[in-house]
Amino acid sequence: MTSSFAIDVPSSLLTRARNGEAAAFEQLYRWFERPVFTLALRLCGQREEAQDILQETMLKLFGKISEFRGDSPFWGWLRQITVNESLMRIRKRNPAQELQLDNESDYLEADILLPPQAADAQLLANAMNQLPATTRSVLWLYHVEGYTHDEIAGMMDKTISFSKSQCSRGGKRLRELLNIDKEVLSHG
Amino acid sequence: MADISARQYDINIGQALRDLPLEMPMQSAWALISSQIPKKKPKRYFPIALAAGLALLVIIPLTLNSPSEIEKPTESNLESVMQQSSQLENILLATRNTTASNASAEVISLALEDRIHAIDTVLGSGTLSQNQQLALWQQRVSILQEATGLASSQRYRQAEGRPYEIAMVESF
Repeated sequence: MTSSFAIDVPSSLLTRARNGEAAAFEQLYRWFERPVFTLALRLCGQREEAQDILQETMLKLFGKISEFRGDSPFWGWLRQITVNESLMRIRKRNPAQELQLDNESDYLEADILLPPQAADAQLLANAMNQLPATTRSVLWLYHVEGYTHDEIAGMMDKTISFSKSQCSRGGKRLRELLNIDKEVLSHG
Repeated sequence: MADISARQYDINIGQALRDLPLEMPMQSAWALISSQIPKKKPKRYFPIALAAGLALLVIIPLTLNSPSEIEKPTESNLESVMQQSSQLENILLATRNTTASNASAEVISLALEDRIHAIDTVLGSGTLSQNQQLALWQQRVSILQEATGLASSQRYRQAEGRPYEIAMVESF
């Protein structure tokens, strides 16, 4: 499982950034601009909000880079800042607008298979955008970024069973959304 | 009796999500960010200078059209090339189709992006003379022009409703 964040940054570049060199900051920005924006967009679902998260995340990164100890990969640290910023914005949304899928305790299978339409990036992205932000975030963090249910529950201030349930129900809903697309196409 | 419809579910959800392409922001946030971080003069490190020199041996021969073009770079023509590069980058961001992309065009586009990253790496070393910077910025502009042309023609073909591969076969 490889995240698009997994970019190895030379320690010399980090040293220069810690020393406040603008060129080093720009280098880091250019390397991580798209991974940060993409992760923010996948979690929040809105391009304008993802743009704001990109700016906030990068400003936090450059403000806190002296605190980075280097005992874990730099990209993992930056990814965590992005996730925290995105989840904070989702939490701030009006709860009435942010419905969740039923959080029943019986889990469906975790590794859901999707219909062939899932290979169409646009169809899949559209279907993802129809999921509630919390559900979409759990799906993305678990399946793409490789976080465990325990970690996701911690970040979202929820239980492990909540994370598992959202993951399995979100996957099932995604499968349904893609199948609806197929039916529409086949009758078109 | 086995569920026949189950056979159509053949893509793992994790794989499908990981295969989604990276997205581009609507505009670069760098200008805003750079205005908010305190500037320091770059320090010079010999190993980086050496690495940059080696990289230049690979890149610069491809960039130089004639030595006279970069004989006496001034602050203003370097700034002008940088400005051109920034404008092209904004045009590229505006032109790129952010919702769907053609696989062949995406491969070419990623290759061009890799070349830009290679140049940025050398430019970011902070050890180059003005001559070397100008040559690299010119190379950057030229690649961005190529990428912008590619993105525009892809958009045009999509607007026409013609697949990009067919358009390429027709063109060449």
